Amino acid sequence: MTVRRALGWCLLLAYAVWACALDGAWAFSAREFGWRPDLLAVLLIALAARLPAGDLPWLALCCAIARTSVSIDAPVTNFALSFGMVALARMARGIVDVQGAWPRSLLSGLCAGLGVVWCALAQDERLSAARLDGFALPMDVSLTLAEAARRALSTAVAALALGAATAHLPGLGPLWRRATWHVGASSR
Amino acid sequence: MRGTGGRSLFLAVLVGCAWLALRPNARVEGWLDVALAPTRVVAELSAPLRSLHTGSIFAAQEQPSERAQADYDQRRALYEAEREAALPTLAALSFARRFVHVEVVGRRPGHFDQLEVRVDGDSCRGLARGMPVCHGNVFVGRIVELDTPRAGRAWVELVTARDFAVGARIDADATHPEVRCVVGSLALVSRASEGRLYLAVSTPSSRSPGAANACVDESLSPLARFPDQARGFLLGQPQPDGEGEWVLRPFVDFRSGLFELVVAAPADIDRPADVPLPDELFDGHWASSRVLSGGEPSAGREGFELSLGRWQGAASGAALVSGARLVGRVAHAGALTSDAVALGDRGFSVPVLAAIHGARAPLVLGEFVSLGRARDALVFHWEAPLGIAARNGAERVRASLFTGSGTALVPRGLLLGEAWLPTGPGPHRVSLETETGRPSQGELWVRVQAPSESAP
Repeated sequence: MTVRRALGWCLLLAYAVWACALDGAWAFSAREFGWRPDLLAVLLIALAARLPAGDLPWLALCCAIARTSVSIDAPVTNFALSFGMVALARMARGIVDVQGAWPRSLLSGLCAGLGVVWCALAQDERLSAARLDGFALPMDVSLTLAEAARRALSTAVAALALGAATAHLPGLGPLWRRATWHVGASSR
Repeated sequence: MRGTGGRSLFLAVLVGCAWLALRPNARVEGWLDVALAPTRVVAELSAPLRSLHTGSIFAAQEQPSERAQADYDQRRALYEAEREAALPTLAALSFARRFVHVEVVGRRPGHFDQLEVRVDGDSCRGLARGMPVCHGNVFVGRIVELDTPRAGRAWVELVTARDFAVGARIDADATHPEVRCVVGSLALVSRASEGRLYLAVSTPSSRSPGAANACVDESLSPLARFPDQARGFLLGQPQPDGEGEWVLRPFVDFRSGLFELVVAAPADIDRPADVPLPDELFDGHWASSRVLSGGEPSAGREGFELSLGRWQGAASGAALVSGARLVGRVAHAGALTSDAVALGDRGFSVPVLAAIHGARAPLVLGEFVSLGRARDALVFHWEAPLGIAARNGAERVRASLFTGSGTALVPRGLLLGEAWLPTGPGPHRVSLETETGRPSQGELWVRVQAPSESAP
């Protein structure tokens, strides 16, 4: 691994932490109207569309660590979320060109929406497991789905507005720009 | 994901994490915490974004010192009123007895019907096994062990315990004879998850009790050690159970409504004058902590990362305070950082005590479970098995809410906010108006088990 690539991974970690922190800082004010994009999903999908397949687990790991450092969700929930998003992106890019603006935006929105449902489900399971007296908090499925829909839509719009800029953040280029002989040798 | 091996490993990690997220395993997560300890440094990367918040610091931290002092004064007054309310009001129950205050600390692991209590003055001197324990005019159980798990603590077995038995009497009325029976354990019709608990009655001398309340009377039992001290305390109201038998509807919430109790001891026990317990806010068992994150990125959740982990004394469930106000609790203590949930996080639960405006005696409400935030208020689920009696025909009463006792690492008397409480039996939804908002760069205090150098 070259120094530039190592620096690229470190910068990706920093950008991912900032994306989560900005998301969290936005959370309180956005709660009134519920529209808040998942910036980490936007960054993750933008890079997952361009990174070589061998680097995708590292992308998932980077995003999982970043989210764990600022989120109160359990680390395993965050790891499953990041790895799941990357797996979805990996599947999608085998079918369509996810570097295009619309597919990338739709995929970002889908990941963000599924992320909301996943985190709510994991949290509910943990709450039920922690209670000894059998009391079960009534789960509001319609509220969770509405939140997921809002999150998906706002994330898709943010991904569309930001375009490919997220993958072009300073220092991230060496992670996805391939050398000429790599391009020539690649079948895709 | 080069090759089949890499892809298999990726999928194994994904499936493994998903499984552990839904079926938590404390041991695995403990190891993961240690492995993720270096992310403490990563969390500091978000420092530049912590200053973006506007109007988000705790009101309690910004409030002038007079306001903070008012909170402390309110807390102290509540404690005195709570102690007074724990004493019996009937003159017959106060006669020839000495009452020793005890505060509920928690439940015995594996024995939900046994309470750990902290005795006044942190001394069990003069107390003995078998002494009755009461709340107001109501009998709740007996002392079963003293000076365990440490000096100044005791275990109290509740009347709801499976093998508990106490002699009872239901006075005669115009149409029904006096009934004698044995009371103890939960009746089969009880449903703890729905907040309905009833006391079982066995060997009644008559199958048709009157309308009078059942009270303790062990004068016929040669095994009772303190029959004179227990006599006359109330047990419950007789009700048919729907299957031809009858049960007792208790006057206290045994599931989550026991905070301050008294031991009814003989008047001549060898014990020095009672010394009220010191205020936990100033006992040195606190550690300061910084907020590392500006908010929670997960939709529908409220919480933040703290700069204090298990290795610095933080523990899961510990209270997080600003002044005399409860801000949240540690949900999970990692190695070097902790996840703290705020009051608005769905599933956050806390025992609650209410100071009803215009009433002197505080009211035990039991457990409140957060349903999340709606506009400016936090919405809580309140089971309210006993409910609040309507006052002057009003359908709701205004009250200041405080934390109750009985939860480890959460001191009693921390201010939660103001609320309108609906009268009548629950379940209810209560909107809590609180001044604590989202945390920012400010310092918070976390309850720890080991003494720290300073207190808030």
